[in-house]
Formats: sequence, C-alpha cells, structure tokens
Amino acid sequence: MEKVTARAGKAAEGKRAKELFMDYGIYVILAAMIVFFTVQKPNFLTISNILLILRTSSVLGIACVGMFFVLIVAGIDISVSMNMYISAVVGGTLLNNMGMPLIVCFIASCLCGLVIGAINGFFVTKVKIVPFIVTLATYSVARGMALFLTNQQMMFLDNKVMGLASAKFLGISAFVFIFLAVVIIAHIVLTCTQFGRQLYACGNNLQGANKMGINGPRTVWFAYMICGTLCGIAGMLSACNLGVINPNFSQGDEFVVISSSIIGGASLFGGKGRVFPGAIIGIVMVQAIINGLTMIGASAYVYTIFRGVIIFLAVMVDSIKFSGEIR
Amino acid sequence: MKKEMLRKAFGIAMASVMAISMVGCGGGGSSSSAAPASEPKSSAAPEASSAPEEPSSAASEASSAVESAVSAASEAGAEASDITIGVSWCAIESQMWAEYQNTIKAECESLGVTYTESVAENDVQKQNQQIEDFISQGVDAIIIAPADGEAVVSAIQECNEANIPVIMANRAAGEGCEVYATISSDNKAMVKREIEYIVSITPEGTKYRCLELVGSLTDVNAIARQEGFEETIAEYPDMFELVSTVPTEWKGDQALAGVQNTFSADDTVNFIFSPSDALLPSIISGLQQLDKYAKVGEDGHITLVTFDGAADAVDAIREGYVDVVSVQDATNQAKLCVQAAVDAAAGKEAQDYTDAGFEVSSQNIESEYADFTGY
Repeated sequence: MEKVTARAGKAAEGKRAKELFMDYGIYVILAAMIVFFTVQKPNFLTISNILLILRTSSVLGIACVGMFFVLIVAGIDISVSMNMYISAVVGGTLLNNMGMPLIVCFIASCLCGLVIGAINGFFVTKVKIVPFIVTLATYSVARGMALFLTNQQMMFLDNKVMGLASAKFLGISAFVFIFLAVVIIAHIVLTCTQFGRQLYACGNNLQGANKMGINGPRTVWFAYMICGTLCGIAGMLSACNLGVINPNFSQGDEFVVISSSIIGGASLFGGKGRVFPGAIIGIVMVQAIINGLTMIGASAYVYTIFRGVIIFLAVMVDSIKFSGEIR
Repeated sequence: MKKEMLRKAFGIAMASVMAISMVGCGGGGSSSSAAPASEPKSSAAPEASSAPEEPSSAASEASSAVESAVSAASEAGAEASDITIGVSWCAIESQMWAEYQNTIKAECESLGVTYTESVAENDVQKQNQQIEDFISQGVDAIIIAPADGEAVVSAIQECNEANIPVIMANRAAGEGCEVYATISSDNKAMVKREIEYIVSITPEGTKYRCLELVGSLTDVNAIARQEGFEETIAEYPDMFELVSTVPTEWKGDQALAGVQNTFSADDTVNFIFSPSDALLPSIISGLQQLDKYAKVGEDGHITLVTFDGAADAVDAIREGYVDVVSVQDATNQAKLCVQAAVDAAAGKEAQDYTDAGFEVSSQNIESEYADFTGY
C-alpha cells in the first residue's frame, strides 16, 4: 500500500515538474540566452539594445497579438504576411498617389486588413472550410493582388514616413509605444470583457460554447477580423519603417508570427494564451536571438539553423502541453 | 432551410470568385505577350569596355561576344516572327529583374517574337512545373532566370529531351544538363574589382570596419558576391576588418534589422557592403533612424558600397550619399537573352556572354557617367 502511494506521489511530482517546465521553461531559456549573449558581448544587455530589440519586435509583435486572437479560438491564419503586404500597398498607394495624410493611410490599411480578416472569418465560420486552407487561399489572393497593384515593382514611399520611423518619445521609438498600446488593449479585451471569455470558451469547446448560448461562429469571425485589422496596422508600420515596399515584402513572416505566438504561450489547439506577457515574450525572444547572433558576428548560416530550431521548439512544447490535457 | 441553401450558394459563389482571382492575379501564373512592352527607363548604359579601370581581357572578350551575338540576331531577325519564347522568372523582386523583364518584352515585340512568361515567386518546385508547362506548350526556346541553379537542372534535362534550347538569364545552371547559352555577370570578379576600386580611391591609413549583408544563401549570385567581397578584403587586412555578416534572404526588413543590430553592437562600423540595390532603401532607412546618413566627405559618413545599378542607387551617388555601385548591364543582358533564344530556335550557334560590368562612384559620376541614370 505504502509502495503504491509512494509511486503515485512520485508520478504526481514528475507531472508537476513537467507542468512547471512547460509553464516557465520559456523564461529559463530566455534567461539562459540573455546570459550567453551578454557573456559573449556585454553590449547585449544595455538599455539601448533592449529598446532596439523591442523596436524591431514591434511590427511583427502587433501581428502576433492578432494571431493570439485566432489561435485562442483554435484557428490559424496563414495569410497574415500577405495581409500585411496588400494593406501596406493600399496605404502606400494613397500616400504616394493621392498625397493623403499618414493617418488616413493607416486607416485605409486597417480597413484592408479588416476586409481580409472578414473574408477569412466568413469562410471558416459560415462555409465551414478548414482555417488552414481558407487562409492559404487568401494568402495567395492577397499576394497576387498586391503584385498586380504594384506591377511587381518596388514601391518607394514618400519621405514623410521617415518622420514616423524616426519618431521618439523619452528616447523610446514610437513603434514601441504603438506595440505596447496594442498589447494592453488586447489584454484588457481578453481578460476583462465578456467577449474575451467567449473567445476562450469557443477555443476550448466550440459546441459546448454554442450550447451555453454563446454565438460561437460570430465570436470566431470577430477573432479573424481583429487579426486582419492588426495585420493591416503592422503592414503599414513595416512599410514606414523600411521606406519601401518590395515584392518580397513580409514574405515568410507568417512562420515568425505563428512560432512567436506559440512560444509566447498560445496553442495550436486553441483556448490558451495570454497576450500579456505572452506576445511580448514570444516575439522578443525571436528578435533577441537574431540581435544576439548579429552582435557576436555569427556565420550567415547559423541564422537559418536557429529559425528552424525555434519553430521546432515551439511546436514541440505545444504538443507536449496538449498531450497532458483532457478535453 | 431556404436561408441555409442561400447561404451555401453564396459561399460557393464567393469561393469561385476567390479561385478566379487566384488564377487572374497570382504572381505565379503565366501570362502571354498581350501587355504592351514598356520602354526601359534608363538611358543607354555605357559599353562594357568603357569600365574605369584598364579593360581586362574578359571585358574585351565580352565586347566581341556581344557584337557577334548582335550580328547573329540581326541575321536571324527575318525568321523571328514564327518563334515563341517562354520565359521563366524566379521572381521580379528588384529593379534589376524589372529591367530585365521590360527589356525582354520590348525586344520580343521589336523582333516580332511571341512571348509567354511565368513567375515562380522563388519557389523552385513551381518553377520546374512552369518549365514543364512550356515544354508541353511546344515553345521554341526557353529563357530561365532560376531561383536556384541546382534545383532547376531536372527541368532543363526535360527540355534537353524535348530538344528545346535553354538560355540561362543572369544565373548559371548546375551541372548535369545542357544549356544553349548562359548570359550573366561575373559577380565575384565584379565585386572584387569594386572593392579594389574603393582601395584605389581611399587615402592610406584609412581603416574600414565592415558590415557585410548577404542575399539569399541559395542564390549562386549572392554567394559569388559574398565570396568576392570576403576574399578581396582579406587581401587588405590593414584596411578592412569584417565586423558582422548578416543574411537577408533579399528582404528589406532583415537588412534593416542587420544594420540596426550591428550598430548597436559596435558603433565604430563605417562601411556597409550591400549585395543588391534592392536592399539599399532599407539600409538608408536604418542609417537615417540612427542619424548616421551623411554625405561622402562629411563627418560620420558611412561608406556605402552596392551592386546592380538601379536608378535610386545612382541618384543616391549623385546626391553624394552612396560611394560606389558595381553596375551589371541588365538591359544588355536581357537583349542578349532574346537574341540567343532567336538564334537557338533558328538552329544557329551562340556563345556565352559574361557582362564585365563597370563601377559608378561619387568620384566619376559627373565625368565619365554623367549621362548614366541606372534602371
């Protein structure tokens, strides 16, 4: 009897240790990484470099926040990168060809992103097509339309965007404030509102949520629309940051956004994740690795290896977490 | 029930619209020569032999190759109207490729050649399929600008079996297949000459601490430029020190992050090598954000060395912000591709042509290259 109890106790301890590692392991890895890069290059842990990492994280960080909404409802949005591209092209066209103020261009980009998000949400919730396929299709449509609108040429943006790219308050880039504002608003929406709780409920068990009286399809649809809108903002910010929209603009960024969100605590299986601090931790970790590798003068090939390892780690941690759950 | 049916019908209609737009707008799709050919924006680029340095033997060989190819093409001109050429693009992601595309269209129109094209968006699998489509269409020759010279070999082998001549544009193919002609630049030699040109105009005792940006690691041209840069600076250890090498996948955001991260690590970097003008706007944006975008000769100027010869790079040289660009003559290369394809379809012999290129710098742009505007 005692033996059985001891064995059960050990198993419970093991389970707790595993849970602890899954919940806080990411912080341990982040801390180890910071120590490693700081030992190699003391400049890594300076305030100016930390602010730079936050700044380089901010554009994709905003898209990450959007991805959190979609992942929470057990969806996925592959079209984020091309949503950013077409939204940037729409905003850039208004800026260059019609001389519109920057704020109008941002609103247009948001609307463009919102439309793509709404299309994704419509096909996922009303036509019941698998999110992966729907968003893969909108990825291709958005890319095709952006290439068509730009005639596959580089679009140089008016020099006034440089004002935003270089804008600073208290020595901190405006991009960081925009990112933090988006994170805080999203955090409040997810944790303090009925809509936020409905999102988690839909992600955990859509049928159950429907039975409880939640309008599941509408909630999921809204999640895609929020993701689309945030991608619109991210796209236009990225264009302002670069001063140009290349035909390969944001190509491949969907992997960075999805893997960062998973690293930050969201789950491919839905119903999980906290935007604060998850979205910040996820994207900052990815950007900090790139920053650290550049600082220590790593070989060009090491970057590719690290990108692969990050995606692998993210999916592995998510799968291990999910396998321990009963739904 | 009726509402449900209506909803489903609407869904199907929307899905059809999406599918149609994917075919119509997709950058990866094929398009024929219906679009009117636009004129290249640049003024005529100087001949390869007018390079500022002593013309090398490679350059003079190249000039004679150009002449022979041009004469062969004019002989073939009479038969050109029956010819259909397929052009397989890797992606039109820089001004250089846009110039290539515009010139090939214009040249085909002027020769009366039917032109059909497809863009693979740097997807090697897609490019191979598109080349197979050209084979089944029965085109007379195929011009390939490969995303990856090695990965395209199997598709070229199929062209060989179908007896369709292949012309490689700007990037060479890997081993194991037969190519009718390769029209390209000697990227390594051009970068070497560019850096040596920098050495020749730099006062003694100057120390450059360098940030090297690299293009796509699967692009033979990017690797050749990387090798050219690294090998040449290794020959001048007293002048150059490589601080950081950053891969960019030809993407502006990675170039921008590379610039910002490098300066955060080491504020004494004073030299940036960009492997393509496509990355230059992002580099300039990064320097502007860091308050380090100064003209040549001003305090805090970062030496900027780039490659291609796009209009914005040439403008930046003229304004005094960029030091040197190594120009590959995309206009001439594109013309030679069409001429080689016409020759091949007519059963004539063609020769490989290597673009010797030339350097345009803040020192010679108002004298030797006063009329050069880039593309």
